[in-house]
Formats: sequence, C-alpha cells, structure tokens
Amino acid sequence: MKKTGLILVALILIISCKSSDKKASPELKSSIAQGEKVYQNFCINCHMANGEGIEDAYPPLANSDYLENNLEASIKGIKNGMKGKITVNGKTYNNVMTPMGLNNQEVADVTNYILNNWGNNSDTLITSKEVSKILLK
Amino acid sequence: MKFKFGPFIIVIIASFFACAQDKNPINIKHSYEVIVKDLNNPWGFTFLTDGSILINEKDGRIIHFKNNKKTEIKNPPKVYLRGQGGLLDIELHPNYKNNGWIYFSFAYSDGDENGGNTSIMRAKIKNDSLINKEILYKAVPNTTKGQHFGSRIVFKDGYLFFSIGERGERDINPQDLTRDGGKIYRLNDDGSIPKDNPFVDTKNAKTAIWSYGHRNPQGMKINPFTNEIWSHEHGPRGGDEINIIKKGANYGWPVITYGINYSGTAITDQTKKEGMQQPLHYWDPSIAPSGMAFINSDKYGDWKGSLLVGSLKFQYLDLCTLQKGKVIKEQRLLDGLGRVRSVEQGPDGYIYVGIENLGIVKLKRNKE
Repeated sequence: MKKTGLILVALILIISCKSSDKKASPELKSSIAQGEKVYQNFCINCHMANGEGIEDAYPPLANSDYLENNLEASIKGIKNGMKGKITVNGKTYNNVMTPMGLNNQEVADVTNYILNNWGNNSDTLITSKEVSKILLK
Repeated sequence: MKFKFGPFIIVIIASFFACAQDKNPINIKHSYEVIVKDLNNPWGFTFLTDGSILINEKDGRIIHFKNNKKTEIKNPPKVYLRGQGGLLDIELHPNYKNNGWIYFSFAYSDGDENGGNTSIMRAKIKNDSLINKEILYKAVPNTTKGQHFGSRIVFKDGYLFFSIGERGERDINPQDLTRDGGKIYRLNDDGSIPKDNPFVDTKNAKTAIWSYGHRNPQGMKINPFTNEIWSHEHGPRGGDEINIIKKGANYGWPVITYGINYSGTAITDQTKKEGMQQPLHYWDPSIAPSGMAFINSDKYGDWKGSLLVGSLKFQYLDLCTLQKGKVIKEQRLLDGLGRVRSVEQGPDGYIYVGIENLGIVKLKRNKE
C-alpha cells in the first residue's frame, strides 16, 4: 500500500512538471524562457498561472483543443486581439481580448511557452519570421 | 500498512482554494438600458454640462457622444498602447464650465528609454479637437512592461489627485519615495507641486507623491458623504483592496498584503505592520476591481450611500453596502454582461457603467 501511495505522488509530480524539459532545441528552450516572461507580464491576469483561465469568462490555454487545431488563428489573436465566440474544450466563450502591443518576437516566444506547457505539446519552434508570415495570410 | 491520506487531502484542499469562486449573490431586482452602443473598452468617461458624454477608449480614441451620435475628438494624446497601457481616465476640472480644462491619464512613451509610463495631461476642446495640450506629469523611467499603469483622476478641494501603478516592479517602486509608480499623487490644477505636499522636504523624493505602497489603483472617487478619497487597487491573488487615502500614508505593498502570487507562492507572511495602513476591505478571491462610484442620489432607494465597484475578472458590478465605513454586504449587479471597466453617477443621478465589448449602460432599480 505504501508503494501505491509513493507511485501516486510520483505520478502527480510528473504530471505537474513542465513538459518543456524534453528534447527541446536550445533555440526553443530560450524562446520558451523569454515567453514565460511575456506570459507573466501580459497574459497571466486572465489566463492564470497554469493556463487554466477563468470559468465562463476566459478560456483555458492548458490542454486546449482550440490551440491545437487553430494555431494560426491563435497567433493572429495574440498579436491583434480576438473578439466574439470561440469554442474551447467543448465550452463556448464570447469575450474580447484587446491587442497587447507585442512585437512578433514576443508573440513567437509566448506561443512557444504556451505550446510547451500545461499539457500542450509541440516540438516545433515558432519563429518571429513565421509569425510575420502568418500575419500576412 | 496504512495509506497516508494527509498529503492528498492537502492537495485537494489546495486545489479548492486555487479555484476559489466568488460567492457574492446575484441581485435580480434591477435592469439596465444600453445608452452608448459599440464600445471596445470605455476606460473612462465623464459628463459635460449639456449632458453629453466624453468617452476614452483605451485604444486612444476620445469619443463625444451627443444626441445619440458619436463624434471622434481630433488630436488626442499620443498613447503608448501596450498591455494594460493606453488612453485611461478622463476628468473635468471642477470649474470646467468657466475654464474648459479636461484632464487625461494615459500611457506615454515620451523620453529616451524604450517603453512607456503613465502621464497626466490637460487640454481643452474646440471644434471637436483637443487644443492647449499641457503635460502636467510624466512618470519615469519608461518600461516595456505591460502591467500596472493605474490610473484614475479625482479633484478634491481644488487639487488634482491621480494614481500610478507600480509598473510590474513591486520590489523597487512602491516603497521608494524617490521613484515613480505605486503611488497616489497630488498636484495643483496647473501641474505645479503644492507647498504642503507630504514629501516636499524629503531628500530626492518625488514631491508630487501624496501616498505610497500601492500596487495598481484603478478606482478612485471622493466619498460624497465624508469628503474622503476612496480608492481600490488590484492586489495579487486574493489581495484586492479598498483604502481611504490619507496624506503621506504607506499602504504597505509589497511588505504587507492579504494576497499571494498568481502561482500560489507567498509574497510575504505579513498582513499587518506598524506604520502601514490596513485596507478598509479586501477581496479574496480577487475580483479585479476597476471603476468606482458612490450612489449619492435618490434614484435607487435604500442603495443610496452604497459603493459600486466594477469587476473585470468576474464581469459584474459589485454593490457594496456600507455601514460605519465598512463593507457589510456585497451583491452582483449586471452579472455577466462583460468586464466592468468604469462607473460614474451622471448629473441626472443615475449610475452609468462602462462595459468592455458592449458600451455604456444605465442602471435601473426595479420597483419593489
């Protein structure tokens, strides 16, 4: 029984650990680190410390199916703001996110941070160049 | 062998607190009417003598709403639009009728460094355009941080008071009188420093400072029943506060607070300290307060004397019943309409509420 308890604790620890320690490139690692600063500065008020959002008001970024399926729209949203209805993990949100005034590098960094935390998974590095391309689409 | 539940119970309890819900009951005996439609973020607004409304949109536009028509005021201040910064509060000079001065707070990038900081400007309006613009105060240094610009403006006894948040630098700004940020300031209406400001004789102090140790005050009004300055501020998680602002007082941030970091870690274990003011009220969970007004008319029955505070986070207008200077009851008004950004009592005695992604609505109380 004691063993089961220990395994449970270990599992909880593993789940709560950041997933960004896996084989990320140095570029990705550094972008994630910068992105964390951007997140603390601009996003945490509404999307909260672990990307959980606020019920019925601000959608979660953790384990977000919206992010996974709408990456380009998400990047455009981080840059230019978002407005109106979106569905995230089966729940509908109708709100507004004003543009934060981030430059493309900051958009890339915070995207990398979000995509590599809280159950989101991505190995690819988003660069500021790619952000510029997406914004032109 | 015994299975140890202790740690799990702690985890479960902790997760309850992490998801703390706001328990204020919803009041259903009121309604509203949309007065100004289609606004993005009416950060501040004020009523002119003809009953028309001047509205600051955070993105930098000043809108004059008259006879159901919006006119954009030309030549607005050049705002630094980043994070929480942009065009913020607007307030008329108490003698506006005769001198025409209008006061603005906004994020401004003037200066050599990158970024911006909060600034106070006054100007007049002629032919739908701002003229005679004068910068009365500009906080320094600029920073690219996106948080905590403040800012609200009030007039009391002919003096101009305004708040500036600590700009995301809690460990260097709020407790240091030689630095801007985390302060409430007092100036003469022309921007000069009153001779009896509390820190005029303090070496290297910013002499405009009236009180300090604040985090991010985004609500400030004169209590019409006591003539005191009331202010609220965004605290950390679980530490939003209402304070009565006194000359030279220290409100304690970040040395004392009832809140914790967003991540759940502690900021300080102190909630009280000698020489630091206790809040009149604090919110846990935080409601993210913005905008403030006292009901001072007879339009709302026994709500007269109550305090109204907007909640950005939970998207309602908090009706705070006051008794002997304490908040004894809170109720949700306009629940779920949107992020409540600004609250004013109009010259007609009705309460007007600026809501993000909606506009300005007029609050009505139903007949009992």
